[in-house]
Amino acid sequence: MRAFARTIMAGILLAGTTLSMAAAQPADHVDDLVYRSALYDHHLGHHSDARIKLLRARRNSGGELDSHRQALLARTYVEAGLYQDARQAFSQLQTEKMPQDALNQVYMALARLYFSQDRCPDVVGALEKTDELPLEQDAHARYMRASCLTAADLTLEQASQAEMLLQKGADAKEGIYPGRLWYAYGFYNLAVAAANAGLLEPADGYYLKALDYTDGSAEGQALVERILLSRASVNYALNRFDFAMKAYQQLPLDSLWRDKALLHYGWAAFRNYSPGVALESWRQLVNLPFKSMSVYQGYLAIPYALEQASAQLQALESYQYAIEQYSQVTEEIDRLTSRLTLQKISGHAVAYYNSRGRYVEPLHPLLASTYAQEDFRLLVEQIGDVMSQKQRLQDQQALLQMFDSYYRDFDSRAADRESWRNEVQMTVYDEVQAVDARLDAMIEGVLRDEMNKEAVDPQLQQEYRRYAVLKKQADAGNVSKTTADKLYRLRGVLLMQLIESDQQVTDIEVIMDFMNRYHKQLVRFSEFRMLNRQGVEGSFDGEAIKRLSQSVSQAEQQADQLLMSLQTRLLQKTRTALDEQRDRIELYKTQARIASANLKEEFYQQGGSRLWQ
Amino acid sequence: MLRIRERLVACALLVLLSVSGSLLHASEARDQLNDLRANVDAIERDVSQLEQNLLFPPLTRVKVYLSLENDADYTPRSVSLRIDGREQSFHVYSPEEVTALRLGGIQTLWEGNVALGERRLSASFEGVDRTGDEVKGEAALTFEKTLKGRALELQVVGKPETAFKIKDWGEN
Repeated sequence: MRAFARTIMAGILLAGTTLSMAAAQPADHVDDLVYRSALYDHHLGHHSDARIKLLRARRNSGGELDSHRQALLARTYVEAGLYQDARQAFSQLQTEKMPQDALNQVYMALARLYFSQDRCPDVVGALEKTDELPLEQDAHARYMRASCLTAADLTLEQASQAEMLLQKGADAKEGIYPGRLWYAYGFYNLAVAAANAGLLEPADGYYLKALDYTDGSAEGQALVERILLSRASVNYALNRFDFAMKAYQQLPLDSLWRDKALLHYGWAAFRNYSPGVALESWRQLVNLPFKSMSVYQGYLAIPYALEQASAQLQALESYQYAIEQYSQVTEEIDRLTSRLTLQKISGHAVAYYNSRGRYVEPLHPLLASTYAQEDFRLLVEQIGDVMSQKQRLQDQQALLQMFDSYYRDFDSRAADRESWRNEVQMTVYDEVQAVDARLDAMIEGVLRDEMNKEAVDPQLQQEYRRYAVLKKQADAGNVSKTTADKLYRLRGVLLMQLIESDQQVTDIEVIMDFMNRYHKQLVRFSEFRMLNRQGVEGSFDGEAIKRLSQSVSQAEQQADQLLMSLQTRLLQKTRTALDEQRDRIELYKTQARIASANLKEEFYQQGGSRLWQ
Repeated sequence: MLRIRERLVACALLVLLSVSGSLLHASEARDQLNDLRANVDAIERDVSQLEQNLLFPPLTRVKVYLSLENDADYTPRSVSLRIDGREQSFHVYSPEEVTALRLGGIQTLWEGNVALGERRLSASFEGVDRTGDEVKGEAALTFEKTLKGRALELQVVGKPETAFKIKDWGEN
């Protein structure tokens, strides 16, 4: 072993080591790879992967992240809707040394975060710190600021400010550009706020502007339909029935709002002195396969229009038909309410959540619009979210079970591995020893032969002679270990001086080649020596698996409790919504009955009793 | 997706009736949900670390990244990665991936196990320049796999002209 020690020194002296070179790499460069890798995931929309990478980096660096990484982590939280964590991550951010484009990203993410929570003063505060935003971000920023201006009870002045804010951004560039649709949303929100505040004329103008900035994308077309529907209602309120009818006509036949459009188109036509057109529209409405509340309103509108047109007999038949339909649907609602269970509501919520905008068969047609309401959507999203967290936990548990069985198997073969390591170590040890012995002899031979040549520097020859005396003593075992180690370092120095003195050294190429090989063997040997149980298995810990498995179980319990509470709330809300729909239907039914009775009475008074006796 | 949701939420807030009665419950649920998500994140972080140590222990782990300089006149189509002449990965790039690379991201092209000792990493690049002409390139590097994990980066640089390099990040 002593021979190894001294030759290791010589090896290091002559060749250096790969290990030490690698260790010299600064740690922040490695960390930079983590950041850039997370950034790549983030740009691809894989926010969860990015977040996990950054969280791992944060833990590995003792809970600290530099500002860029911290900003990216905060942005991944915003994307995931984890607003509490995002707020915390933003609060830990040091923005002083960040470039403006990075700051823009941060403040835009912050503004989006506040906007989602209706914190308009904070939105404006965050946006004020941005500068020279790219087109799309500028459009988004203007949309948020304009929407904030319209959030309260809108005055004409505020509306005009919001309009200017949007118009200035929208006029900056012509044609289709990224973020143009934000202006459509901005003008739409402004129009809705104006309409709600009774500013009907300006509202109509804003709707028209909103239409100007829509595009041909699916999202753009969905917005066009909303705008047309809202604009039609504003024109109806302004008694501009022909304009209202035109707007309804522009809605596509397969529009999501087809039922509402047919109902209100009918009313606009009716008010525009076209009862025939109104009746045609309502007849189309009641024949729609999907029976929404608009359809049930249509059942009542038809006999009313017939009655106004003095078609009493037809009106009476239609009232009767409407009453039958209302009775039928109230029975359906009662049946559904009695059969509504937690399981059924949960299954529906998950299907709704997973549909991501695609059509899902509602529990009842009358619940379709209810489930589109904000509070229902939020609840359904929360249920879906908990379910997806549960799925993540199940996946982690499955992985941990796999790790556990692997670990057990791995652990059971510990003795085999130990014996294998010893075997490998011995093999390498023998190889190194053989190379060491040969190298030792070769170097001694070269020094002996070359140092005696006349061309060699006398000083060097003298040093060699002193070395040779000591070497003899060492071979006889008459020197201490420290002296022996020094001796072999000295031999390395002598060899190097000989090579550097331009002396033609016989077999030096062979020696250097041997030395290189020897160095590699030494590296291997040191590696095998480090292959102890700790080295191989230290990264894999059975206790860590158990601890994590317990954490997963606790989180699963947390998820189950939350899910139960959300499902119960959805069930209660659905029942309440069904009751409300039932009450409305009952109201229509009562109105139909009263109207029908009045009509009969009128007939009777007009001598028409024979008609139904 | 979030943006669309944001827009619709904002529109819905303005259009639909107030739902203040249910807001308190909703915010409580939101806080609990955030708490749950943070817990799941922490679990996933720890499990992924454990998984990496299991599948790619530092003893044999080699990670190969790929980066593309922002202004490089080169759009990658595919990259083939070989270690000691044996193909380990063949990746075809989508436009979204190219954009993510140009925006400063770095792709984890391959992560695997490599035996200790001297190894040769080589990569073949296929892509196009801005005129649509085909551009091919090769890069290779010999490295020493030691006891610690190793990180290497395939780099496509743009200045003074498109070139393909491999950077050794050392132990990782």
